Amino acid sequence: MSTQPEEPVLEVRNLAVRIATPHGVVHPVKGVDLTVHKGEIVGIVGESGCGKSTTIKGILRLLPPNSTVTADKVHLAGYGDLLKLPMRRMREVRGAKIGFVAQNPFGALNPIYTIERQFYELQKAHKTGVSRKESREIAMKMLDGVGIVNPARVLDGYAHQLSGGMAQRVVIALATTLSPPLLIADEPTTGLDVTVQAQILDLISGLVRQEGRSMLLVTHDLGVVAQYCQKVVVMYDGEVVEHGSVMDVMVEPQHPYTQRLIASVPKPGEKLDVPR
Amino acid sequence: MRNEVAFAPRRGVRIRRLIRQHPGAALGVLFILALLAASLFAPLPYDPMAPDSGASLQPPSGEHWFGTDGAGGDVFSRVIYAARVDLSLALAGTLLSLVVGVLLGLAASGKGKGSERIVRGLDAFQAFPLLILALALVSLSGNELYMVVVAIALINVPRFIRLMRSEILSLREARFIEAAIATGASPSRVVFRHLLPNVWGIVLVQTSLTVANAIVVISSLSFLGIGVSAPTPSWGSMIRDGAGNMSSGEWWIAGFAGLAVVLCVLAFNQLADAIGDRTARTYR
Repeated sequence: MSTQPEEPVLEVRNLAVRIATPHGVVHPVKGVDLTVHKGEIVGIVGESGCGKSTTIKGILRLLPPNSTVTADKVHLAGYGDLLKLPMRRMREVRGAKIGFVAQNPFGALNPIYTIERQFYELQKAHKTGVSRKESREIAMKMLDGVGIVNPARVLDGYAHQLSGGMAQRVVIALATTLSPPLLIADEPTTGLDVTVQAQILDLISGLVRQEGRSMLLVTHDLGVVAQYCQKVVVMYDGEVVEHGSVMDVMVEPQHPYTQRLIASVPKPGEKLDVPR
Repeated sequence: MRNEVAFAPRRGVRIRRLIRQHPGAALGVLFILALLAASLFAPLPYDPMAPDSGASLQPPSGEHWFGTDGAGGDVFSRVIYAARVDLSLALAGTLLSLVVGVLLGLAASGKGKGSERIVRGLDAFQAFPLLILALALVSLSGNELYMVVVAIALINVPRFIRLMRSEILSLREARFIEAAIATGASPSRVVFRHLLPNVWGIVLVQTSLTVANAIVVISSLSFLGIGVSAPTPSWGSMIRDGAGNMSSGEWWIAGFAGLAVVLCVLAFNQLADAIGDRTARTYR
């Protein structure tokens, strides 16, 4: 269901990131390959600090100026190589072509603007010419689409008045307002409780499937990958150690790190080997 | 799933609630407005510029509410009238500090070499005792009133710069700034739509404190006979005039002028507190 011959939505070849620190140069990402086809959800898994988020930020060019991103190719369908785009074009890409859902939804919402205003700011940043009133209507529709029951009340409120799950729904609605063909979600469910996590993931994957979009989902939860992704990329220490369809990787992991990663997931009924 | 978000209350309700929560600030604002209005528009009982030499050093009475000074000027009329010069100088000085301070503060918050230079320059500048510098500046200029405004800015601009810089440096790392960039906002949008609106609250607090400070600076200068000069009444010069009479029991001249300074400073400090409380709530 995933390997169509058509051009991939996002193709990354040999992406590397170097960061110059006062204590020398570090290489958090050393040559990552990724391919996301239309309609696919690709998971990136790996432990904390393995370069998952840095890879994402490298693609979106969100890294601080003391870092350099190099790649043979970061190709976004219809836009060409993202690393070679002038900043003006890059800003078009962000938000309109690639929607970004950050880890902490409260952090992603400006604390002093109402939720309605944040939708409007997005429209203005992209010069869509949408009026305040139209923006509100669009926002209502978007919030309704992410399962918020009373959109009007939420729109008039501020980020701190929302629960974690609702705030993440708002962020997802914002990220999809301009209908980007590709969504990048960086651990979208960290800090949410388990039932809400499932709701949020169902919501995002539903949105992706409905609209024929694609998604890059960063997570450290193999269960999430198994349930929602078609393909998976396993990262360790800044490199891709294994990639392929979720079935292949989960059933027959080739790399020792992946094997240990899968073995480390607790299974129901299994006795834990914990000294008492 | 339930969606409970509090409605933002209507404006009238909000203002009433504000007054209940910060009665000091409300009273202070009322006092300042009344004082300004009285000094600008109200008919004063006596001409503050023309003393009546026949009635010098009279204690407070029904005729002269705050008594009269050594030259026979009505203290009440003079205290009210002094607000004209003192408050408008303080407000002008604050406005100048605010504009220059915010612009330089913004420039000092960048990542480049220029911002570092501003901070260095600031450090060198702070080595001078600022009040003395202001004093020298005003007297060297030949007691020009606009120099008082410049002097106030000189004292307060560094504070604004430091405040802006420290706030912006920490805000710059905030996730919502990154999120704004990730949704395609241009650098100027990020600064003007996302960074600055988050700084206004604390800048407003500092502004209110600056007015209070400016009133003290102006009074100190005119106490030393610099800045506002006779016959225009100012609180500082009235305190100096009255100081000599204190020991012989005529407390009302310096007393009421001093009270005016204290109340004004208190009013602006209360206002700063209230603004701080209000803005801290939506912040973070």
